[in-house]
Amino acid sequence: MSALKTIVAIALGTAVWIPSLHRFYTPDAREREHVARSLATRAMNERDYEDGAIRAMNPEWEYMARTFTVLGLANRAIDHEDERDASLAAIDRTLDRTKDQAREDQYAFLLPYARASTFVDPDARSVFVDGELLMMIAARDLVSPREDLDDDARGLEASIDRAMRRSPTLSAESYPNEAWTFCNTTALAAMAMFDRARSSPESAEHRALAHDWVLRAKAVLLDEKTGLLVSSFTRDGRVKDGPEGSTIFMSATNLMFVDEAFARDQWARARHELGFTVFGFGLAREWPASWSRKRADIDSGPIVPLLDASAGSSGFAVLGASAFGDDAYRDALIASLDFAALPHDGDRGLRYLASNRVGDAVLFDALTFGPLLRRMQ
Amino acid sequence: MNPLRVFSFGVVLVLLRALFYVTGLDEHACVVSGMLLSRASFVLGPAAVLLALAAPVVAPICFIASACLFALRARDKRARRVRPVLS
Repeated sequence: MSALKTIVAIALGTAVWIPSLHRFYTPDAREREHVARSLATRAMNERDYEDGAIRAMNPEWEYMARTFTVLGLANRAIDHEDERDASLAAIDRTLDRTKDQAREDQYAFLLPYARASTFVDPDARSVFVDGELLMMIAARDLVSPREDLDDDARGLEASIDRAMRRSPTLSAESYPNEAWTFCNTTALAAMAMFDRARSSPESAEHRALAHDWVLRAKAVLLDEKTGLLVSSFTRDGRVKDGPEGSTIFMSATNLMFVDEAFARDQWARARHELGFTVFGFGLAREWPASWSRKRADIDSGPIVPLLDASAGSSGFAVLGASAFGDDAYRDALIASLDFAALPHDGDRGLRYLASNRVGDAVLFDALTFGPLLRRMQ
Repeated sequence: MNPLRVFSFGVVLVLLRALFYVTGLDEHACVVSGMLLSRASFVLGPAAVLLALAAPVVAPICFIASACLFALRARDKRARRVRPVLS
């Protein structure tokens, strides 16, 4: 009888407490701004981030951390006049360092298997490296153009444009015979941003390329069951990885700069297939339920057992939710972060101890998203 | 089960969580994102995350459950005191 009473009491406690728990973690506008300001402050102070540790773990992440940090800083620079000079200085430091390193050795930012074979297109460079570099320059230019980067940007644009047009799928390779929708949509968004910033004479050609890419993607890159863009494929269109949360939320966000209707369609499908909440906490699955080849990889990060939610997918879902105005889901995702990622508020502002530099950078871009897109309109 | 034990379990969880927070052992949680402070991170990192999840979930349930059990016990005591008078 005593055991039964204990069980009933614990069940009652669970029923009362669990549905209320998320209320202690769901952020309001002031708390979101506190996180964004903390991330901005650290992004402006280069000593707060050491590249070495994350480069040793994954050189792609170091590169992506730079890209998302620059995007976040550019967004803050547009909307916060008091941070503009410091943000631009931090962007320029990152840009100068990155363009020299990328020009010298693009493999420094790629995983080691990039060296195992050669690109199918002998004249191509990795669209992962070139696309994100162009996006960093374009973001800088949308805040305030830097004339001395003009030749670099136009060279990148021309190189990406040629590589995409030569490909049967209109998608350039990120790795030898491996194209990613993440990287190709980033490159298309970057070209659109740069053309907007500089009124580039090639902008009509780039718009046509983007239009053709979307048509080709709808024809050969959509997963039959979900209608979502697949993640990776060979240069001639054989699917390697199906729809993944760590790719599709970013791809949909990129497409906002290229084809808003297709972007919204992809977001709605991704939100339906991958996004969910549990007792008010937001999460995102790495794969749709219908995808058979589910496996954790370096992009997904750790997978939460039973729920199939991944850190990579949930992180990028914050970006998607911000970009597409799904405020309730965005706040539910941040509630999960506040619950599980060990936030600590100290003299360096708020830090998530379970996060790393690339996680911080994606969150920074997500929480500041908007001003760059507004400059496009 | 003794309601005091249920309550104490919640208190122990809260104290452990506070210990990790105050002593900085929480910093080892970076291991879940692939970073390491030291080799001890392999043990202390998952422990910090588990405690961070368990303390706010389990401890309040323990407190609510123990409050219910204390209330039930008090009601039973009152009932036992009343019974001889009735008989």
